[in-house]
Amino acid sequence: MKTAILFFSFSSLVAFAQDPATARMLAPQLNVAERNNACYELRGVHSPEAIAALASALQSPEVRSCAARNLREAGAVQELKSAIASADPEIRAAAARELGALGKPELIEPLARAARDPNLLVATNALEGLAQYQDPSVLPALLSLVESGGPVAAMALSRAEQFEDPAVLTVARKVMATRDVPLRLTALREIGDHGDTSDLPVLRELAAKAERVAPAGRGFGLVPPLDLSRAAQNAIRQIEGRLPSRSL
Amino acid sequence: MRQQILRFCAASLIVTAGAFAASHRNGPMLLEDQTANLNDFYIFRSYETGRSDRVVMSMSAQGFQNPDNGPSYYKFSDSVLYRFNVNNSRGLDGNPDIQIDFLFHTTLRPNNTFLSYFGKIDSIDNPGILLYQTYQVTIRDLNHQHQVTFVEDVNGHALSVAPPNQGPNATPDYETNLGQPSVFTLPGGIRVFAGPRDDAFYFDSGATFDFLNFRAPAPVLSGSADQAPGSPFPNAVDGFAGYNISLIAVEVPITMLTANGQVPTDPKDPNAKIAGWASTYRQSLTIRQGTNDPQGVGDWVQVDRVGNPLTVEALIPLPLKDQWNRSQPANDRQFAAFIADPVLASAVFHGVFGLKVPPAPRSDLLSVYVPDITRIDLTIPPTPFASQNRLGPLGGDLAGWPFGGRRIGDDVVDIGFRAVAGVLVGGFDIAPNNELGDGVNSNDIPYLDHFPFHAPPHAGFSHSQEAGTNGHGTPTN
Repeated sequence: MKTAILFFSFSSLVAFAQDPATARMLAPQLNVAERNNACYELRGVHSPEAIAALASALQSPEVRSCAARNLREAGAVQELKSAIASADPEIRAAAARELGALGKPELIEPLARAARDPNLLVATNALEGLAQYQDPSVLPALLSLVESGGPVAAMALSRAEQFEDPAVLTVARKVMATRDVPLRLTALREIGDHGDTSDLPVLRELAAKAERVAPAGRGFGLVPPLDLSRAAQNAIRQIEGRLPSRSL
Repeated sequence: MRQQILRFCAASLIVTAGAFAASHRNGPMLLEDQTANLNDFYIFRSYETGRSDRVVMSMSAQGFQNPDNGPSYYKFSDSVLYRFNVNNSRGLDGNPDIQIDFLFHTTLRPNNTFLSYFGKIDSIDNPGILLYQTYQVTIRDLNHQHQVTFVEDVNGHALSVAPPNQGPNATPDYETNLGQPSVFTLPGGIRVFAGPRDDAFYFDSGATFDFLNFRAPAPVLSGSADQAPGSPFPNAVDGFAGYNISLIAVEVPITMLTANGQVPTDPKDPNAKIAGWASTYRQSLTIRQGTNDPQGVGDWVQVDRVGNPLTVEALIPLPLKDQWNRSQPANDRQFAAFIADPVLASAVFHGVFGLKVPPAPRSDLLSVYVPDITRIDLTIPPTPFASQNRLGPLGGDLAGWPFGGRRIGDDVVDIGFRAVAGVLVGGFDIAPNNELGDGVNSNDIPYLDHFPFHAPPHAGFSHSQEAGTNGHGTPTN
C-alpha cells in the first residue's frame, strides 16, 4: 500500500510558533488555520502594535474577517475609516460593516456615502452598517437611499420601517411610482402596515390592473401568482381591517 | 510514482502558498465550468449499522447528467482539485482546520475503438474500462502540520472511479459488480468512493422558478403528509428525477475530525460541534500549446464552494454569485445583508402572500448561513435510516439539517422554505409558515442504508425523457 506522510517545513513552523501573534497572523508561510489562531489570540488586545498589525491584516483575505472584527472591538475607528477608502472593495465592505457596529453618530455620513458605492458588495455592507443603528438619527440617511433608488433602496426601506416614523410612509408612497419591483413590494408592505384610506384608490387601481404571472387553468393552492396586485390586495385588507366597521 | 510525487508537490503548494481559498449550475461563470461545479454537500453521522462512530461527507458535482450520454459519459476533471473542508476550532469561524483533497488522473487504455467502455464490464478491473480514472486522497491537519496521501486501499488496489451504468447488457448487476466494489477502505478505518450516482436532491424546480407557480393541489403539507415519505401531490414534478451526478464520498472516524481527537458526548463541550463544506479549485494558469494536452500551472484558486443548501440559489443575488463561489466562508459576513433581510421572506412571503414573518435582521438565518458551513452536533445520535423524518429537526428528528448536519434525504427545500418563513423563531411556527413546501416529498428512487448512501446511478439503457426524467419516480437503475 502506498502511503506518504509529509511533515511540511516543520522546523520553520516551530520557529514561527515562538513569534508573537502579530507576526504569525501576518506570516504568509503559515496556513490559514494557524494565521487565524494567531488573530484570535489578538482579540481584546488594544496595544498600538496589535492594532497596526490588524490594520495590515485587512489586506489578507485569509484573516480579514477576524482582523476587522478585532479592530472594531478595539475601537480602532481611524484604521477602519482609512480602510473604507481602500481600492479593494472587499476591504471597503468589511470596514463599512464594522464601523456600523460601532453605532457612532459621526460615522453615519461616511457610511451613507459608502452605501452609494458602485460596488454592490460595498453598498450592501454599508447599508448593513447603517441598519445596526438603533437611534432614529440614522433615518434620514436610510430614507435618502430609498429615494435615490438603486440596488440597496428596498433594503434601506425595509430597515427604515423598524423606526415606525411617519416619514417612512411618505417615502414609501413616493417610490410606488418607480419600476423597481422589490422596492414597490417593500413600499406596499409599509403602506399596508401604516397607510390609511387615502392610499386605497391607488392600491385598488394596482390590484385591479396588474397582470398575473401564471397562465390560466393551473392551480396554485395556497401560493397564488407572484405579482404586485396580490401585494396591493394585502395592503388594502390591512388598511380596511384597521377602519371602524361603519367606515367601510 | 513520479506522478504521485508531482501531485504531492502540487498539494504542498496549497499549504506553502497560502492559497486557501447546493447549487446546481449556480453562478454565471460556473455555467462554463461543469466539472468544477458543485451541487450539494452532505455531512452526517453514519446511520449504517455499527458505524455510528463515523462521519460521512459527500459532494456532488456536474448535475443533470443524462444516463444515456454515451459513448463518453462523464468523468471527473484531472485539472480540478476537489476538497472537503472541516472547521473544528475558533467557534466555527468558517476557516478550515482539516482538509481532505481528491485529485483525479485519467488513463486512456490503448485501444482502437471509439468507445470509452468496451464489452461487458462486470468488474472494476475489467480491461474494457478504456477510460480509466484513479484518484489520490490527501488528508491534511492544518493545526498539527501534517498530511498523509493515499493512492491505494489497504489491499493495494488503486483508488479507481466507478464506471457508468450503461445498462443490463454492458454493466450487469451494476451495484454488486461495480458500485460497491468501488468503495475502498484506507488505513484508520477511512472509506472513500468516487463515481456516478443518482442525484439525491429532489425539488419541483420547474414550478418554483416559474415564479412559485406550484401545481395543483396545494403545495401545503399538513397532518400525515408531513410524517411519511412519498408524494401526496402527484402533480408535483421532481426536476432532478432520472439524472445522475458525480459523487465523491468519504467516511472517517469522528475522532479524526474533532480538535481534541475525542468523541464528544456533552452538548456543552466546545468540541461538540464541527462544520464542513466542499470546494473546488483550478490552477491559476492553463497553458495550451499546439496539440498537447493543456497544462495547469500555479496556485490552486477556488472556483466553487457549497456549504448549506439553497444559499447561492435563493439568497445571493445574481451579480454576486460568482464572487460568492470564489470567496471563503470566513468572510461571509460581507453577504449578511442578503440573509438578514431576505427578499423571499420580507417581500414575497410577507408582502405578496401575507404571511407573518419575523422582522429583520433575521438572526435565526444568520446563525445558519453566516458563515455558510453545514454544522453538525456530534452529540446527536444518528437516526436509523428507516425512522428518519425528511423534515429533520422541524419534524422532531434532530439528526438532520440544519442542526445535525445534512443527510442525503433531508427535504432541504421544504425545511428551507419554512425556516425562511420564520418557524425557528418564537411565535412564527404557525400555519401556513410551517406548512410550506414544493409538493415533492421524496427522491425518485430509494437511497441506500449504507455507504455511500446515494442510490446507484440510473442506467443509460433504461433512461428516456419520457420515463426517466418525468419526475414521477420511475426507477431507471
